[in-house]
Parts: sequence; C-alpha cells; structure tokens
Amino acid sequence: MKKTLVVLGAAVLALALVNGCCKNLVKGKSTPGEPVPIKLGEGPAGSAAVGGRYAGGGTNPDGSTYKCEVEVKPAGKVYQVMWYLDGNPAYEGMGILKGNTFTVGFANNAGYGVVAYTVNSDGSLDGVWAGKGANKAGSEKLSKK
Amino acid sequence: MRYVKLVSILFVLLATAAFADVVGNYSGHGVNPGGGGAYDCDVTITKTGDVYSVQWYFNGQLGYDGVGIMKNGLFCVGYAANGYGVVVYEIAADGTLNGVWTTPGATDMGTEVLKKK
Repeated sequence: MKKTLVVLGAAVLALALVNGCCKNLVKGKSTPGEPVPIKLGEGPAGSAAVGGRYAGGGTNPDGSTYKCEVEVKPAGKVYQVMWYLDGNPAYEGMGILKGNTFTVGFANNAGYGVVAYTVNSDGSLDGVWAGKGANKAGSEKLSKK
Repeated sequence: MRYVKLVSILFVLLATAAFADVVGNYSGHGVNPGGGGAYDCDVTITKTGDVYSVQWYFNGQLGYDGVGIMKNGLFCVGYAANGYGVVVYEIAADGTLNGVWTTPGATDMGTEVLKKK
C-alpha cells in the first residue's frame, strides 16, 4: 500500500511538472479563443491583432528603466514599427506576427536588436528584447493608446 | 515500478523538448520575400547568457550578423549588415529551424530552413 502511494505521488508530481513544461512550451499558442497557426508564412490570418499607437516602457539589461511610445503600421503581411523616446523617433523596426507572438528586428545608427512580444487578449504587448552585444535581455510592456 | 519508469521516461523526453537548444551549425536554404530568388547559406548559432548570436555565411563569407532570443517556443532574431531585418524560426522536433523573415521595404515574408549539420 505504501509503495502504491509513493508511485501515485510520483506520477501526480511528474504529470504536474510535465503539464507545466508543455504549457510553457506552447504558451504563445494556447490562449483560449485564439486560433492556432499551423503553417509557416500564413500571415496575420489566425493571429492576434497588432497595430496602432502604444505607450509603455521597459527595463534595460542593466536594470535602468525607460518610457517610450511605439507606432505599429501594417505593411502587407508584415509590420513597420517606430519607437519614440521623449517624442523623438529613436528606433525603427520590421515586425512579423506569428500566432500571438509579435517579433520585431529594430535598428538605428548606433546598433540593432530584436524584441519579441506576447500579444495579450486586451491588445497589450509583453516583450523581451536584446541588443547586439548584450548577454542579458531587457523587458518592455506596451499598452494600446 | 513500471509506472515510475514510464513517467520518468516521459518526463525526461518532455524536459528535453522544453529545453532543446538551437546552438550549433546549420546548412540553410531560403527564398526571398515575394519569391524573388533563392539562396543557400551556412549559419552558426552561439549563446552567451540569455542571448544568442547568429552569423549567416554566404560562400564562406560573413553576410549578416544577428542577435536572438527565445519567446513562446520561437527563436526570434534581429539581424543587420547593410540594412537590417527580422527572422522568426519554429523549432522542429529534429532540430530543424523553419523561419520566416522580412526587411525594410518588403510587404511580404521570405522563408528560410536551417538544418543541423
């Protein structure tokens, strides 16, 4: 009996862990009500929606913080993105929406990087980003204006 | 005892999938946005801390340099050379990276498939 309980306990624990892993693995594709994208390059159909003006801010890899405004414009199957710091254009980017993950490559004269956002059901964006040469990621949260 | 073994094996398999890493050397084939021509490339992916570094080589010459992060199970890379762009890869079970990419001026995506060497 004791042995059975141990086995059961182990099975429940393992299943809970496995379930957690799976949820993380497919986090971007498991939001209830979001159609799951199946094919590569299928574009915005079946994806969450992005576009318009956002306000928000983030944390640099060194822990310092910043505020920004961001504009996202659809351009065919892809997106043009502009970040404004203190009202001035600071970075431009090109974005791809895949399921509810919005990924943008960005650049200015000083360098370039990548940011990947989860598109939340309220339209807000939760991102992580890295600039070339960094070994730590920053974060950024944007809300629709 | 059999169940413990089975569950352990399952757990190890899933944990491996969850922490599958993209670090390595790849042979790539891509198609430009709008079907505007195809190309072959070799790609090297390394990791420092939380961040990946990606290099694309064409005929043995460094063509593009990139920086990558993992998000929602996707490998997301910003790259630059003369100009810049973005590529998003899905990671297949065999480690193949199936990507879509775009660059300023484009209104469509190109594709790129990277196979582990």
